[in-house]
Amino acid sequence: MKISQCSRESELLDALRSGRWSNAWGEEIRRHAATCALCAEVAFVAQALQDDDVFASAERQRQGTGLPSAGLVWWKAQRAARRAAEQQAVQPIALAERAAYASGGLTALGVTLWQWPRLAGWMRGAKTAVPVGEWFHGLGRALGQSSPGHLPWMLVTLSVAAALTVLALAAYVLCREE
Amino acid sequence: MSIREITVAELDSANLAAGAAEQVFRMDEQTFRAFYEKTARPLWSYLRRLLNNATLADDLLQESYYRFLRADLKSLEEAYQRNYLFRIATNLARDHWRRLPRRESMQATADEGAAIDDHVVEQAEQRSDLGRAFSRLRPQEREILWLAYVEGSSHREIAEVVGLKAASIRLLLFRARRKLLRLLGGAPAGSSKSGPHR
Repeated sequence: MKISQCSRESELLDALRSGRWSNAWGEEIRRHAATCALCAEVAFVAQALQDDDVFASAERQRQGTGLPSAGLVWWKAQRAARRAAEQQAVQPIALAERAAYASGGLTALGVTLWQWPRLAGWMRGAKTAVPVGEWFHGLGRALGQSSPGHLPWMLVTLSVAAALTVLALAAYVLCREE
Repeated sequence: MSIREITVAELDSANLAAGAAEQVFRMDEQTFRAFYEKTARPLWSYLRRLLNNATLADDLLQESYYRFLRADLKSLEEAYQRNYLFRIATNLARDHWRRLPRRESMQATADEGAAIDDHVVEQAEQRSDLGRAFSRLRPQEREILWLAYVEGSSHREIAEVVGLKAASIRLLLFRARRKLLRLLGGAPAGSSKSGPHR
């Protein structure tokens, strides 16, 4: 697509932006725009936009709602930056916290599944209920007897491994920051 | 973290006496104030016309300066910094449009002040026509037209702000201008003084 061009387009825009357009100094460029279709187009659009800009600013001043001061923007920006830095600093702690909750949850789930018959009996209060001491003794025996492929065993192992990993990561992050 | 979440009350309660705040940004306050005085009004005008919403323009103005202050600028030249600032503002405006439903983003919002007398009524109507026509342009068209005809940016500068190649700006500007003219009802042949016709 061929786009028409006029070598005086930038001169016309300069005249509009500087204010020369409306006074005697702009007479010559106005005469040119009156005969050049392209420049007439540019002048029409540019003038409309510039008038809109001037009017909007004047209206804002008339309404008494000026722009925020440089000082206010500066201080708000400082405050926002400091808050962002604080949030970033506590991110490793929050991450460790979430990981700790997750590994704790996995452990609880694993133990529950493992000892479900005992727990169920204890809750029902039936003759199968076991005293607490004997329950822990039974848990220790069960740990020794379970095979590695047993799901509760895997869950407990996983949660212990996760807890150790989180501890190691937390230690690394703390040492790095120091 | 957005600067818009910081309230004036929070500023009052913080210890922000002159010199008490540690330097958080690469640019010092004095330089920033001078830069702000030169660029705030044009930037606000740009955002206001892009978004057709003065209140939103206020918000994005502050957010633009916040991101500018945190940016790692490659040059201290004022022209470069100004361009960079406008680029940030353009991206923020685009983020805003992306979050809007398509129909809403193409409509002009009620942003005209109250009319007092006939002259003001006429001007308000003309602005309203321009506002309606402008809002029917695509965001990129609005950006290019405003940067070219109000900010007086070169094609290279416009390309940097909108994220396009400089060679394509001439064609895009031509098309955008033609489209706006069509939406405004066309320019009178050879006319150079009158504003948009209703």
